[in-house]
Amino acid sequence: MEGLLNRDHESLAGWCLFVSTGKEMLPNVLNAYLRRLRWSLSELPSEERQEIIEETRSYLQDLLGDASAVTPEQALRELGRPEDYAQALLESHRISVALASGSAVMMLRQSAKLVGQRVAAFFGFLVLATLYSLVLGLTILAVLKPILPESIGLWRAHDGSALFFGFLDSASRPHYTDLLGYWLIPVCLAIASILYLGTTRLLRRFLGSLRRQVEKTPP
Amino acid sequence: MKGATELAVLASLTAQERYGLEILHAINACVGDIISVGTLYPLLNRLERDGKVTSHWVEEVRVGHPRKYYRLTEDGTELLARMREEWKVFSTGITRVLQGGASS
Repeated sequence: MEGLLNRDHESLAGWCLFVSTGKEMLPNVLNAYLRRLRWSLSELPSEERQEIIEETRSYLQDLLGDASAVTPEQALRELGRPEDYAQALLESHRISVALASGSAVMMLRQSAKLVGQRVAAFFGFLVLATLYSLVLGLTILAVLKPILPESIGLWRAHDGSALFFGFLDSASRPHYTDLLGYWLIPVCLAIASILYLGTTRLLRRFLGSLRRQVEKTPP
Repeated sequence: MKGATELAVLASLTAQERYGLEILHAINACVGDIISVGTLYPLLNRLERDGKVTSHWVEEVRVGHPRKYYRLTEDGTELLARMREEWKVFSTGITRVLQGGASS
């Protein structure tokens, strides 16, 4: 701290002024934000964490200074949730640490995490695609029933060995019972609709989480 | 265009050292809002860790609070030069494509 007192272009009074007003210049909502940010960054070494907090504070003080028309709430909205903002910083830090350590175990873990996100995304997509094909399949059955009433149905084998929605050829037909008859049409359409609505809701959340992942990827 | 963001940040430090908000304004003044605060600071953080920029705190008594100024390192200047070249090639190529499309 002696360096500060030796600076020519700053008076001691001026230095005391900024020290005493630094933290009080921010309204409570912003100090609360900084506290949450500090908590989210607890994984970082304390020096690095402190730097980030100080820089964020400096940024907020700049935004809200002089002739600023920005409200504290607007300033915070720009930054986003402290947990999300911290995430970007943390991931970058973790990868750097893993790379610097030279430890195969650490690097594998970080790689697994990043790849895992993508693998999970891939399987999530497969599941959604499968559900949609089910919707399509059920709808096609409902449409085909009036056209091929003797071949399309919810079939059960007489000996109970099979039960399925689908197409049956005329040779096998005698061994099966048509459980629904023309009721297949409303039943299939109803199941397809419910499945469609549910899957689309899942898809929306899936795409949302994909977007968050994409936005976190370093350039 | 993620690569462009890094290029823009490095380029904004060519003539002078700047602090975060200054960099943000400098870039967005030229290109509109291509970079947000939540992206800029992590990016600066990474660039500093990779040794492309270096920073120091300045106690600005007029303003009443300290600011963290960034400037390019030698490594950073080299990287910037390389990225500028790549960008030139890229944008020339795109321009050619656009002209080709317009004339068909």
